[in-house]
Amino acid sequence: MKNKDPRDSKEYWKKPIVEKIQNTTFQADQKQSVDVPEREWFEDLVRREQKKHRQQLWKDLMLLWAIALIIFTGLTVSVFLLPVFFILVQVAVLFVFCFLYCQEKKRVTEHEQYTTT
Amino acid sequence: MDSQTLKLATRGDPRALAMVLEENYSFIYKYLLKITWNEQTAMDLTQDTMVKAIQKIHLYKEKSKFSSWLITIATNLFFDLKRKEKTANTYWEKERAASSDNWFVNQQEELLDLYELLKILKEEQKIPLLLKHYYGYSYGEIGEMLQIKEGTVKSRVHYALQMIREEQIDEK
Repeated sequence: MKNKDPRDSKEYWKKPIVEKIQNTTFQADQKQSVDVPEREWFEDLVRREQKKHRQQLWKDLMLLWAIALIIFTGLTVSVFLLPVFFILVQVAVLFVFCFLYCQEKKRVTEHEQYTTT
Repeated sequence: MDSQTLKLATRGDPRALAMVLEENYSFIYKYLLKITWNEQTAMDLTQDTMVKAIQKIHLYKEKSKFSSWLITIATNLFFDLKRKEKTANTYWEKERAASSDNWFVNQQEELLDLYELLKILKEEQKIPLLLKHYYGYSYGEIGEMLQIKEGTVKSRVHYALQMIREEQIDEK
């Protein structure tokens, strides 16, 4: 039986092009020098991002609690007719929002100081 | 990179994560440079990739290589940037194009050869082609990375090779 000539294959033309791409890319990669930052830069970046992530989680949690409180007071007032309770909880919610606002403002100031130095 | 370091990194250990990212930094930069042909953009996107990887490390599944996961993030960020550029045809874009032209003047011959070889391809063809024939990923893996069907990857790679072939014939 006659062996099949690989040049008969429809895909045969691809091989030299693929090889050329591989060789050229490999050589370009070998010659390309990269300025990799110091290990400290990566550690700082990781710590900063993790801190930001934790703060965001806390903020979301506080917001969730604040919204839950608003709904809870609404229900309490309408079911038990206790306006004093309503006022107390609204004040508490107001404090939570003020606290969040101050935290955010502090974070922005810290970030501005960090970027200017 | 040993599996112990990677395991610690996925649990959020700052030192291990920093080590893993440092090891992959130049790999990602070189990949992005081949896609963007712009040093500054490649550098910015590499740093964005690092930040995104830190934010999403809890989503990394060890079934794929860490470098493949980073390539997926980098490619997504690149397409995001392209979409933004499309909607904002700004001065900044022209500036970048100009700096890109200047950059080519100072580049090594090898990189220019690669640019000459791939310049006719669109990113949608160039990325699967490089991932398949240089980085050695399977069609299925590339499909997962780029969130397209395996068949689409195959046809894009095929047409990319065909285009390069036609270009070479025309040059002769």
